Amino acid sequence: MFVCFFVNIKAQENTDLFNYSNSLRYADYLYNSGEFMLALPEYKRVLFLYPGNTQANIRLHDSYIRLGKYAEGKKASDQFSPHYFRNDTLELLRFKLLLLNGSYNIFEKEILNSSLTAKDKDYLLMSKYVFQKNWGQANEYSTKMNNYPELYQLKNIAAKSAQLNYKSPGLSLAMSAIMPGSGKVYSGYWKDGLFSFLFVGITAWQSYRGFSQKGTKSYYGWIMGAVSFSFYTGNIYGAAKAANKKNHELDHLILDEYEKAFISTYSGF
Amino acid sequence: MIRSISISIGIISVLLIGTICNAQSVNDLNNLKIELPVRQESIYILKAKEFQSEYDLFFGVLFLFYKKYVSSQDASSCSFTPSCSEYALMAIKSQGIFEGLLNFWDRFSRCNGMSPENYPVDEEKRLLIDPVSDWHYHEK
Repeated sequence: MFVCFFVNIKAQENTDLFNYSNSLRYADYLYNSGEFMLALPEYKRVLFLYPGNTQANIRLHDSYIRLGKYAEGKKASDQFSPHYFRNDTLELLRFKLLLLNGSYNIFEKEILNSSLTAKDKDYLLMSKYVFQKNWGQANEYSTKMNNYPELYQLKNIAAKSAQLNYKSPGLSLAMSAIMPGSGKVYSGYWKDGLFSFLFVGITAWQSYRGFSQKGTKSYYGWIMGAVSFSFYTGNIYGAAKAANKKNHELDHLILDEYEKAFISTYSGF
Repeated sequence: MIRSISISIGIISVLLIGTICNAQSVNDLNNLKIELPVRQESIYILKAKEFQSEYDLFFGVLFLFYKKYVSSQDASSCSFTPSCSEYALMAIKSQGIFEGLLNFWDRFSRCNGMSPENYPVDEEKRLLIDPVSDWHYHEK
């Protein structure tokens, strides 16, 4: 028993559980089970031991994208950068990470020297314009996607951006100046508009009552007048703000939908 | 006679028990005290105490007075977080007195709880989230 114990210890000394092939096997198992968070350190170890493993690098990039850890993903992508440009898929995933992270300057520099196909470049450029909210350019690029059925979903979302019904903050402001609350109704917040109208109207009426009873010596009239004026100016300011808010919401309807579709395109390796 | 003897024995036994058993000491009582959490000052109270100009000082004092003597006297009725007074303080501090006041009056007219669909909800406080920084007038 005593001898067996030492023989066993000696045998274990020669077994490295964290060697390249074991790490890769375990990382692949985690990736295929959807445990992307746990797969990340395993793939990093694999790439540390053998930086030329493109498949591991692809899956590392994909894991970061699926987890939504774009900044960390970009950092890891930079770390293993000398080994990228031998593989189109890897390069495509790096571009996806750059776009999702908002690193547009680096994206623009790198895509100039990219060896990707015209289709992939158009897809990435359309995505860049969508993320930058440059709807005109995004719509222009979306027409180039007609020949690629796998990108129809993205194309349709990008094309929708041309039909966004933006609200004009200036018009909203002017409307509220003429009739309190109308700018907010125009911006799509009719209940806020109604309350603005009521607040301004009621306080103005109270002020009028005060002045009509005691003339300009009415404290009540002056106080209610000041409150009414404050609500009135606040309502004008709020109308422009409401239009900006509505526009932001419209943008994000497109952006959120596009981001989801963008992440699931060219994913799962 | 027997009664007085039994009372004496009773008193002596109680005293003996008292000396045998350890009576509760002051330290024991201190250990039993429940440590109440120290109330953290709200970030808005701290902000109100920071001032760089006379306006900041004036509105900070006004806010602290309102918080201490007015709003503390009844239950919270504002439907937003931060509350309207906190919003006013932050708006004036971040946007200046003119734009900050305009922003506050707009917020005040929206504080009616009739449009919960327009705001995300703070699950802990069960209030609608509407911070100052979100919808600046100049934002495009």
